[in-house]
Amino acid sequence: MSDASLRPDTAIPQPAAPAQRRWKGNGYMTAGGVIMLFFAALALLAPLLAPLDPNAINPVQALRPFGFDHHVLGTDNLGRDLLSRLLYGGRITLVSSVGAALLATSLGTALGLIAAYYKGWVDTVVMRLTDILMGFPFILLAILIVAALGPSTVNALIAVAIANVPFTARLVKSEAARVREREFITAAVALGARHGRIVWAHMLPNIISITVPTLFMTTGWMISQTSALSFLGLGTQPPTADWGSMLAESQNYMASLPQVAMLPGLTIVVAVVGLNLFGVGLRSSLMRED
Amino acid sequence: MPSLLQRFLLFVFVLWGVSATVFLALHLAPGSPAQLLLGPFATPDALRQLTTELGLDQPVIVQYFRWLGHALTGDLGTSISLKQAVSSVLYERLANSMILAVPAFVVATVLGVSTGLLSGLFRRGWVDHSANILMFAALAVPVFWLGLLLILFFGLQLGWFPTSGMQTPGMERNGGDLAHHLVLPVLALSLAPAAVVAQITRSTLLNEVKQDYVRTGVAKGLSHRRAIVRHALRNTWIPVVTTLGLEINYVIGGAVLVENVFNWPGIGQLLVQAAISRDYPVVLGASLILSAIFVAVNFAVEASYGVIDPRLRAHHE
Repeated sequence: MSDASLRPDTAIPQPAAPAQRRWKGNGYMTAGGVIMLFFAALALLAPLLAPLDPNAINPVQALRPFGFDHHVLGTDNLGRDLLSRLLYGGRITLVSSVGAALLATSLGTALGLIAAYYKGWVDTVVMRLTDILMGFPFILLAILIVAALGPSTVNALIAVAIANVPFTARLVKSEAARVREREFITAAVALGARHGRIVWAHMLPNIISITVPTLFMTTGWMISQTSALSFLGLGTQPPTADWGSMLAESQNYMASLPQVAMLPGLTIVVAVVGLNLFGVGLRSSLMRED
Repeated sequence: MPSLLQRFLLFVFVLWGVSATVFLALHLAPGSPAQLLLGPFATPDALRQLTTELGLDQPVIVQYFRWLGHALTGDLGTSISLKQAVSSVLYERLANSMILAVPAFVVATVLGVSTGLLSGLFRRGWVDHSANILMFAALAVPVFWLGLLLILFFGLQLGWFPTSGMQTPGMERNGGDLAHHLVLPVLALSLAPAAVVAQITRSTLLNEVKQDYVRTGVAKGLSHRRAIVRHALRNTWIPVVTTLGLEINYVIGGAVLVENVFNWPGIGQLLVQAAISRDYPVVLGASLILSAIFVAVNFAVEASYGVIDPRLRAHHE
């Protein structure tokens, strides 16, 4: 960037400086990181933290309020401990969202890189495929894939991942197409480097500052989308809890105990906000470094 | 910039691709519709007969082109679970969805554009700050949870609005009752797209205000307000129109969820029920209609650029 090169502190390359600056003065990343770590810890330690079996039914103690008889957050309509269900449900929601985001980002990155590198008909085929996939509103495409595969946690993961691939592919392609025209790629081609090596060792590192922040924001998006599918009855199936299916179940009795609908939704929002903050912060700090 | 004809061909291609993708995906899925229809205790004979009846013993390609031929004449087959013509079921459901989606689209556009303009004009003021927080929140809250919250507070606790369906049971269908039932779902459906529109409107306006022509206007004696209102605002329209395509994505996707939250008998609710019961003809028809609307709106948005901005028209020739 020409602007950055005029600044005295960036005129002389100092290898240690960017790494330090990356962590300094970026409140978004810190806030998002704290939230992410908090949720990761809760998911990892769920078996230790959860007071009870999340699926243990106890109809005598149905719909109890906060703090009733060791049920810190109360119980649902079947007397199941809400805290335990939130913790174990969080595991399923978070793991499937991270899985879906990784799947979507790696597939999308691969497609985008291939389209940008080979250009010509390969590019055309990949881009027309993304056109078709983007011819569906996001959730519709996910519903269709679940309709074909059958409702389950894993199929919901696959569905939201595939539905997200065209977005990543487009983003990566537009960035990688710029990298493709740089001299060092031409040099690598002239030196006779193999296609795979050029894409892997020369192009991929140059788009990583785009894909990694996207990965975090995609994970947030996946949380709300896998939850949406579970909410519709197309994801995790009862009695197993995830945040979306807990919200679906809460619909029938939230009038008597609002927290059954409040808590899972609130956790989704906080988790999504955390991932977005981290992604935005990471992106701006990586962009500053360029 | 591709020509209008090229865009139209792409539009047709995408629609065709959508139909082929959905058809193939549903037919490669495990479990045959005949089996689903007859249940687990069907005799092999009955199964074979129904398979032939439904044409499921033909190769997928033959089935697809047969379906496509019928679809082009408006015949989308028969619903497996409802035993009705898919086209007539879809027609009724689509009408119900429009009653929900069109007001939501209008509310989202008006709310989004006005919020965006206000927070852009009074940048860094309290309007801008509170609007920014609201926009951020509207985008972070999943639409189905927002629906539940609205039901919980305005429906169940305050009792101001009905929480389910399109009309009060036992009452004749009338406009006032329908409008009363519309308030919460429309609110749930329009907030997220409104936030998207507001953000884009705001950033576009801020970008235009920085342009040379505004400075020139001010330099030759226009008041700052006049330079913005008469000149900068006009150039804000193109990105705002672009967002309409994005908005329709939110509205259609959101409608599927909102209809399920509010038990609204629209096409989205139908689609989810059909997906769960594996009523393939309905899934196919409903998703085709929804994506046709989606793609058509985006096509119309792209086609309108030339009308709004004469500079873009020149590139078509």
